Parts: sequence; structure tokens; C-alpha cells
Amino acid sequence: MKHRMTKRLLVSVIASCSFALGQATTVSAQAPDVGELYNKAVQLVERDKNYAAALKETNDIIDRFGQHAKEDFGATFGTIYYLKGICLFNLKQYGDAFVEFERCHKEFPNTLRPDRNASTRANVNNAHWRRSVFYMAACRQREESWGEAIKIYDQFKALNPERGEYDPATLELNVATCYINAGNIKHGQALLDSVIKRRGELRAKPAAVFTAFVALVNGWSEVPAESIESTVKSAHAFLDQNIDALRLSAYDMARYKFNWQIYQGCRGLGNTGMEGLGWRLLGIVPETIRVVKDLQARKQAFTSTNDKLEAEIAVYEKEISDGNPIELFVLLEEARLLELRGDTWGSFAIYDHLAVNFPKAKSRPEILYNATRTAAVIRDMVTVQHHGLTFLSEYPNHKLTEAVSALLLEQLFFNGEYEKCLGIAADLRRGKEPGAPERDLPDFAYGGSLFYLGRYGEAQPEVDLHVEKYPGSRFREHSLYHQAGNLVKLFKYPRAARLLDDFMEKYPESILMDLVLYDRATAHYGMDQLESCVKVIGQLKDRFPNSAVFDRALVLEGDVFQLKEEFNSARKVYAEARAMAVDQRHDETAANALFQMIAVEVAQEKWDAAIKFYDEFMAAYPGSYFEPNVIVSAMPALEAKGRADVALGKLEEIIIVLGERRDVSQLERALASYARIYGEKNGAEALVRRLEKFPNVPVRNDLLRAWLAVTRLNVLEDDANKKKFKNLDAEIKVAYADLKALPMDDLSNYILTKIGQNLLKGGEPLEALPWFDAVRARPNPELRDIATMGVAQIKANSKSSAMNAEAIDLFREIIEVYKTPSLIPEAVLGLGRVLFKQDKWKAALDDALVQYIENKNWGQARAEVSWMAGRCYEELGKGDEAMHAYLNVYLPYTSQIQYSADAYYRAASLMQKSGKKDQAYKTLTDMLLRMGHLQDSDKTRSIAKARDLHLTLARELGKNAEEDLKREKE
Amino acid sequence: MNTMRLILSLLAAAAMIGIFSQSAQSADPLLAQIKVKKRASDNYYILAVDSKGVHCSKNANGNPKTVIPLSQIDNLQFRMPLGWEDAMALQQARQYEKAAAAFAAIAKDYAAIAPFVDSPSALASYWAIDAYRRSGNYKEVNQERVRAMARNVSLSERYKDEMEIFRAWGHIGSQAWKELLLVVNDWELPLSTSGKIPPPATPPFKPLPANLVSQLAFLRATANEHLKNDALALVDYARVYTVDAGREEGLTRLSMLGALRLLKRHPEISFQYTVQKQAHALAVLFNERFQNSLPKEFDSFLTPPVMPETSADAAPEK
Repeated sequence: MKHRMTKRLLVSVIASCSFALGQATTVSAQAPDVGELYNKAVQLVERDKNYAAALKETNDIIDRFGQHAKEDFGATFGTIYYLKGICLFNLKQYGDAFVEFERCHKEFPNTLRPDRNASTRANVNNAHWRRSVFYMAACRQREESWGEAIKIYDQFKALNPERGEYDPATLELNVATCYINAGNIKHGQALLDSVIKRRGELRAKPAAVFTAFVALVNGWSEVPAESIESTVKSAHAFLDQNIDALRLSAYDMARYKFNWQIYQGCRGLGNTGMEGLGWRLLGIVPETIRVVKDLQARKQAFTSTNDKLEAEIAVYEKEISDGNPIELFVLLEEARLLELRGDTWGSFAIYDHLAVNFPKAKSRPEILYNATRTAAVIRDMVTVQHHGLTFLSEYPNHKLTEAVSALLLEQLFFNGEYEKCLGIAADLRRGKEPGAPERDLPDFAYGGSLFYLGRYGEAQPEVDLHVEKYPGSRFREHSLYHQAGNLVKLFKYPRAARLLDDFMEKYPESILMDLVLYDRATAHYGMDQLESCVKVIGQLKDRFPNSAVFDRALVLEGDVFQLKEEFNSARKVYAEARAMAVDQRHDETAANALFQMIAVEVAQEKWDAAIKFYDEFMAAYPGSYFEPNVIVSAMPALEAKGRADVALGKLEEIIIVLGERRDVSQLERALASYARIYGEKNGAEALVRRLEKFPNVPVRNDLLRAWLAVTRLNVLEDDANKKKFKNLDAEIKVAYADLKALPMDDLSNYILTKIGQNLLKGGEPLEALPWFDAVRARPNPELRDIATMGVAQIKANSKSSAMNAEAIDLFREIIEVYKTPSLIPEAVLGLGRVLFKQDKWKAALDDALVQYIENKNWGQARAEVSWMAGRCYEELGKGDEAMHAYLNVYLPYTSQIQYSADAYYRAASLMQKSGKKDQAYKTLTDMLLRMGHLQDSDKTRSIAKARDLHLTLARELGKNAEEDLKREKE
Repeated sequence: MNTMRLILSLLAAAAMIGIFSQSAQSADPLLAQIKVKKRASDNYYILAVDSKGVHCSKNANGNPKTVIPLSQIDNLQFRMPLGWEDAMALQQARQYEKAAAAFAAIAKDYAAIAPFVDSPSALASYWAIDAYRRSGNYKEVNQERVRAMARNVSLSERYKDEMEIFRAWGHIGSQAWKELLLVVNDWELPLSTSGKIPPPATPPFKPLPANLVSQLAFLRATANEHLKNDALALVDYARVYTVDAGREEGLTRLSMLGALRLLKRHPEISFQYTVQKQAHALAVLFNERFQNSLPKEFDSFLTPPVMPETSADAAPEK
């Protein structure tokens, strides 16, 4: 351990010690005088602080006069060696300095008298004889030989030095420091304590005392582990006694660098388990602003400008403005110490303070990270977001960005900030493979957020992925719930029910159990398992009377009663649900309950009650999700009470509002209701006209225009309305044209797909392509499978082999990825056709045709498929299989001439080639009898070729073809 | 002190105080170093200040007198009166009650020069109020403030913030918690609710020296504790003993006790490990720092809490 001593003992007595030795008698008049040389050396030391030059001078003196120094000058020459020692000491050559001091003391005692120059008997003493011992000790101290230094200090004391020869305070402080550094903390501390108590008497300089104190602080941190407890106790007691006496001015603390020394000392204490002591000591370090104020106060003592002070003030003001003053480090260390001790609130308070007050700190990223982290530990979620999002905005690409994102993400998610979660989760998982450990949290949060935001279509693949890829995730329980719960929202009740049952078995004490039970009841309801639904609702009510979904469960119970037409029970339960929901401010549930109450009254034709509830709903929940349903539901009552037109008018207003809100699902339902009611009242054509010129549509609301056009199309394309329009095809064409004119961004997947299919059906495949591509490009997976099928079909029909190859991939995607049951037969068929087209006979069979044939209920193109299969077998040289396939064409599908004729011919050809000429001839006879009268309309010219082959075989077999045909006919 | 400020302050004082000597007969005469234009600075005993100038003498008995016109004075610096060093020693020795009394006496004795910026009387008022605050005598904080206002105490910019904050301390004495919060609010940075980054749970304070932030945090914590906003109060108590690195022992002690009180009534103290660990850490730190003087009611916190076992299937908190 380095020890810094003050330089206080560079005693200026050297200058007072004039070296008046006189001359050696034999010295010539031109030789330099030893006194002059000595004085010159002293000036170099005292005035110039040029120790190297002074050393040269002393060496010169020694060279010239040293050989006979004792004889010529006696004891006084020891002063030269003392001076040399001082030079070496200040040049930090302590070993050499020690030698010179020792020489001064041992070789030039005051008993030594010169042999010659009796006339210069005055000033023969070695004035530094005792002091040189002090310096010997100081040298050893500098060399960190503490024990030896202490011994030599004791030797110095034993010489009874006079007051003017040394500074008693410095001596005692040095001895105390040596004891401390030697590991004898107790004794060193006691000595220091004694100096502090006698500081007035000793005239101890505060800075010197503080230097020793710094050594003590460092000494504390080096005690052995078994002494820590007692050291801490004794240290606090020492501070209690002496802290006030130790205080220096803020400026002194700064200019002597004591602030940094104490800071380092506190770090040492913290590293050895003495955090409390370190924390206390950090308070000794003044803030830089206090240093500035101290200097400003000193400045006021001067009547004129003091440049030196001004310069110092500027230095410290710059430290503040640069943003990394010492108090920043003190606070960081304090945070560390407190957190080591378990005081997380304390460390949070510091990081929070630093984040606001030290914006330019170099360690700002670490500060913000720690502020976020500690805020999360103390569960101040609001501040977690503040610091976390501040970090992400300032340091989007820092090495700690991911850690902060993860911290923030988890807190945001469990605090219900799902919109924010999506962005952060997306960033966190970007570029990482599914299944990578770093994606566990973001994948969980992403899927879960979509679920809680009601984006169920997008959520399902995400939650499925997390469940699949992270079986050991700490979020597993929640993840499994999201997966099952989301399926309920998507009305996929059977699978949802299985998963929910698994969940309940695996996590019987789950904190999510009330939600699970509610969803399970909903699944029962969806599958018409009404008794089971009521049973599960009962379990929820018993086990979780304070559940947040209790009111929703009551509504569900009411729905069961309503379905069973137990209206009184339904009424009661809905009323209870409504009251509870109103109390808990669950507005949506309250609105739903009230809506159902209207339905119950309407079902019993209690118009007054229905109207009463209707009016209550419209007053309390305008714009609610249920508003369109409420109007539709209440319509009989409104009609009975002469308010139907008003209701329709209200529905028109709602449609405009929903269009402005871009609430597509509600808008769709509202338009469907409107179309039904208006159509029933006024007829299909009037409805179409009304939809064409719907009142109050804002000019730029393309979304609404699109949905109005789609509603028009639905009316026009309804088979029930075929005969109600004069120019139906033209009307449909116009409606599609109106749709296509709107920006794609405003059109839902449903509309885009509809347009694409219309174009495809209308023989404009390439025009259909961008519409399907638009659906495929969107994050919302709704109808993506159908759009993919559209694109596949377009590309399959292209003449480009590159497009055909893409079609193959797309068909496979539908079969293997989407697995949509309704699309698979068509996809398999499409795949088979393209492979066949590319002459990939084996692949066509293995990947498509065989599968198609085996699925007996895939009836769409069996003739074609079997024919293609036959062709493939034929190309592969498998004649028997080919014949079998052809047989499965021409026998059951004779009327499909394009396939049956060719199948017939080819089968017969195969028979002929395999030597079965008679069989071939019979087959052809059969064929010609059935279709001989027909014209070949296909490129294969199968009938003509069959006729030729028939004649050839007749000749070869000695038959009369014409007569055989006539006979068979008859 | 620049010349113009000096002259204005002297004129203001002259307008307000009339004859100095009448109001300070019991006090020792006050020495000041006066720099007259084109002359070297010299020491004078101040007798009075009025529109004619500064009435002074080279002798403590006031004879002979001389009058130096205000326009001739380049600089005037008061020497601190007798008793000042003793009072300051008491303050530094943390004997605040005695220090407060000593400073209050000086402020009173030299009240006539209170309007001089940073005069001994003005500074004594400041130190008296500070000492009352540190001793916990909030009633006297208020009263000394009122006395200072009545004397037209004038302090330079560097004391302004703290004098304002002293006003808030007075509210503790009167237990006006909502009013106290309102006063503290003036020192908070406004929370920005626009933009993508939400504000923190509690507004940070304006950039101030750490001791002032610490005081404000204590005031806010105390108000919130009494208004039962425990979570906010707990964090603020933590701010008190940390942002100033525990420099002010009295505040550190009070805030740690405040935090311990809140932890004792924390709804999760019986089961939440983080809260238990916090209470234990504070109790141990307090005992170490303040010679085992932890109040008995917190003794249970000295027992280290048991860390809960972690479970692989443990559900994260909702």
C-alpha cells in the first residue's frame, strides 16, 4: 500500500544554517569557497526546488572537500550529507537518501572537532545530527519498511530533539501511519486519536491529520475477516469522536485530492464487507458545488480580482458542467454499497436521482439500466417504464439494450401495457431463431399481448409457437393459458376444451384458474354442453367469489337460461351481473348484460320493458360494442312501439361512426344487420340503391366505402335476389369496380380475397395476383390460405416454368403449413396438375395423384386425376398400373369425353403392345360404340386414333370391324 | 461585493433603519473594513447608517466620529461580531439548540444592519433558522423566519433556495400536510405527459445541491406518510438518506426511522422477501451508524429474513 506523506518536513532550517566554515589554509585564493558552494546548493533547494541541480552541487562539495572533511571541518560537514539526503529524498531515491542521512548522523556527531583551523571553532556543530535520524525513519517509511521506520522514529525521540528541530505533530502522525500500515490498526488508530485530541497543542495541520486518517481508512479495509466486526465498531466510535475535528474545507478536500482518496478507501471497505462504514465515510466527500462556493467565499475576502482563485473556480465549475464530478462516483459507490447490504430502495433512490441530475454522465447507460432494474425490484412499475423507455430511446444499440428491453418487457406485460410490449418484443426477437433462449420472453410477451389486445387471429400462431418451442419456460403456465384461451376466442371450442382440461389438471392451484374456468364454461356453451357450462360456472362462483370475471360468468349463465328459454332465471341473473359490473366499472360486461336483458324481454314480447332497457342502454353505453346488436335485437319492440325508422336511422349513424373508428368487425355486423332489416322492409333493389348512396359518408373514408360496396355485392350475389335485378351482371361488375378503385390499405383481407376470386373467376388471373399478394403480405393471417391458393392457381396456369415451380411450392404450403381441410383437395389437385405439366411423372403420382385417388370423397376431378395417373404410369413404363388407372376413367366417367376417350384409346394401345390384341380390339369396339359418333374436340384426337387402331387390329385378327360395330349396336 | 450593489444596499438600509446605534445599544460595536475611494481599506466601528452616509469611528467607544458619504465607499465588509465563532463552533459540533439561540441573539442584536446583503445579522438569521431546523424545533423555524422578514433580512442568491425551503419546514410544525405538499410541489420538475415516455411515479426535484434535495424529499415523505401514501413516502425517505450520502446526520436518522415505520406497516412485510430484506438492511445499517440505538419496535427486523426457495414452475407475478 502506498503511503503519501506530506512534504511539511522539508525543513527550511537548511537556509538558516549558514555554512561558515571558513577556508582550509592550503586552499588557493581562486578555489571556490565551501560556504559559497553550500549556500548555492541551499538556494537551489529552498528557492528553486531544483533538487537535481542541488544534488550536483552537494556532490561537487563532497568531491572537493569530502576526503579530509572530518579533519578540515569537523561535525559541521555532516550538514552537506544532510543536504544531499534532502535532495535525494525529494528525488524519491529513498535508499540513497537514507545512506546520506545515516552518514550525517553516524559519521559527523557533534563530538567531532576539526583537527585544523582552530580559528573556526565557531559553528562546528552538525545542526542536523538529530534531524537526520528523523529523515532516516522517513526514508524507511517511504520504502514501506514500517517496522524499521517505527524503530528509527523511536530512536529519534530518544535523542530528545528540541522543539525547533522537528514538528511533533508530523512525527506522531508518521508513527501512527506506520503502525497502521504495518497492520497494527488498533495502536495506530489510538495514536491518531491522541493527535486529534491534542491537535491544538501540537499545532497539527489539518491536512496532515487527514492524510493519516486516509491511511487509517485504508487500513480498516485490510483487517482480517475475523476482525471485521470489531474493526467496524471501533471505526464508528472513532468517527463519532473525531469526525468533526477531521473536517476540512470543501476546497482543501478537493485540492489535496482527499476526496478521491476517501472514495477509493470506501470502495475498499465495500469490497471487504464493511458497507455501512463505507457508506458513512462517503458523506465526508463534499459535492463539487460546495468546493466552488468555498472558493467564492474566499474570493470575497479580496478587494481586487484574484486570478488564481478565479482559475480554480473555473476548473471546478468545468467539472460540474462536463457532467462527471466526483459526487457522481460517490453516489454510484453508495448505491453499490447499499445494494450489497440489501437496501434496494436506497440504491433505487440514488440511480433515479442520478438519471435526472447527471444527464452527461459517461456511465449514463449503466445508470439508466440500474434505475430500471431497481425500480423493477421495488415494483414501481411506472418508473420502470420511464427509465426503461428513456434508455431505449437514448441507446437503441447499446450492449445493455437487450437486458433493459427484457426487464421492461416483463414489467410492461404483467402491468397490462400490451401495446408497448408489442414493439419492444418485436425488436428483441428480431434476427433470432425461434427456439433460441433469448426469444423466450419476447415470444411469450408478443403472443400474450396480441391475446390480451383481442387480436386473436394473429395471436394463435404466436402462442402456439411459444408453447411448442419453450417447454421449460418460466412463463409456461401463462403461455398454456393464452393458447387455450385464444382458441376459445376463435370459437375453436373442441381443441380449446382439451387444452383447458389439461391445464386444470396440471396447475390445479393456478392464479389463472378463475379465467380458465370461465373459458371452459364458454367452450361448453359453444359446444351446446349447457349443463356442463352451468356446472363449471358454479365451480367458479364457489371458488372465486371475488374474481374479476364473476360478472361475465353470470352473463354466460344468463345466456344458458336464455337458450333454455328459462327467461325468469335469465332475467334475474342478468340483472345481478349488470349490478356487479356497474359496481366494478366493467362497462363492457354491464353493456352486454343490459343487451341480453333487452333480448329476454323481446323474446317474451314485453315491449315496454324492452324499450325501457333499450333507452337505458342508449343513454349509458352509446358507441358500445353491443350497440348494433342492441338495435337489431330491440327492433321488434321498436317496431311495435312505432320507433323502427328511428332505429334504422340510428343504425345508419352507427355505421358512419364505426367507419370513422375503423372498427371493421363491428362495422361488418352493423352493415349485415342494416342490410337485413332495410332489405326486409324496402326490398333488395332499394337496399342496393341506398347502399350506393349511403347518407353522410365522409369524403375520404375509403374503408367505409369499401364495406358499403361489399355489402352491396353480398346482396347482388345472393341467389335469392337473382331475379330482382334487371342487369344483375352489370351491377355486380360496377360494385367490383367501385371496390377495386379504393386504396388497398383500406380493404380488409376478406375484401381483397373477394376481389381476387372475382377476377380469377372472370378469367383475369394476372389481374387477380396483386390482390392475393396483398393478403399474403399482411401480418394478419386471416384468409391467407385462400389467397395463397389463388396465387398458386394463377401461377400453375402460367406458361412460365418458373411460375409453375412457384405454384408447386405454394400448393405444398397449403397442404403442409396451412392444412385448411377445405382447401387440401384442391391444392393436391393443383399440385398434381403442375407436376404432370412438367412431366414429373413420379412426383405427380407420389405427391398428389395417388393421394387424391385414395380420398374417395374428393369427387371434383376424379376422371382427370385418374387419367393423369394413367399417363404417369404409362410414362414410367408401368403398363398394368396405367391400364388400371385408365379403366377407372372410361368406365365410371364415360361422359367426360376429354378424358374417357383418351383413356380408352391408351388402354387399348397398351393391351395391343402387351400382346392382348383381342382384348384391345374388344375395348376399342366398346369405345366406338359409345362415342364413335362423336367428334374429337380435343387435341389428342383420341376417337380418330381409336378408329384407326380398331381397323388395324381387325385386319390383324381377321375381323370385320364395321360388321362387329353394327352387331354390337344391335 | 460590487460597488453598485453596495451603494444600493446601503441606501436601502439607510432608508429603513435610521440611526443604527439606537437599536444596537446592548451589542458590542461592529467592526467593518471600509474601502473608501482612492484610499486604502481601513477598519472602522460602525455607529449608524443614514442618508448622510456611514457614521463610524476608529475606536470602539465611538470617538471621534466620522461620516463617510455612501458615494465615497467602494467596498464595505463587516467583520463577524463577537460570539459568531462560538455560535459557529456549536453549529459544527451539532449542538443545534445552543447554536440556534446564539445565532438568534446575534441576529437580534445587529438587526439594524439586517437589510445589508449577507450582513452578520442576515447571516445569523439564516444560521439560526437552519439550527432550529436541525434540532427539530420547527415552530421556531417559522418564528425566526417571520422575525427575519420583519427585519428585512437580505441574503445573497446562494441562500435564497434554502430560505425558501425553510418555509416548508414550518408546515411540519403546524401539521399542514396537504399545504406542505403544495409547497414542495413548487420545487418539482413538471411531469411531461405528452410524448412516448411516461413520467416517473414521483416528480424529480429541480437541480439543487444534494442537501436541499434531501430536505425536500424529507418534507414530501413526511407529508405523504401522514396522508397514507406509503409507497411514495418510502421512496422519498430513501432519497433523504442517500442523495446527500447521509451527510446530515439528523435527517439521515429521521428518514431511516421513517422508512422503518413504513416497512413495519407494509402490507407485504409478512411474506414478501424483498420487503423483509429491505427492513433488515435498514435496521442493521441504522444500528451500525447510530450506536445500536434502533428503537425496540423494530427489533424483529434485525433477524435476517429467510430467502424463499425458487421453483421452476413458479408463475411470475401478475
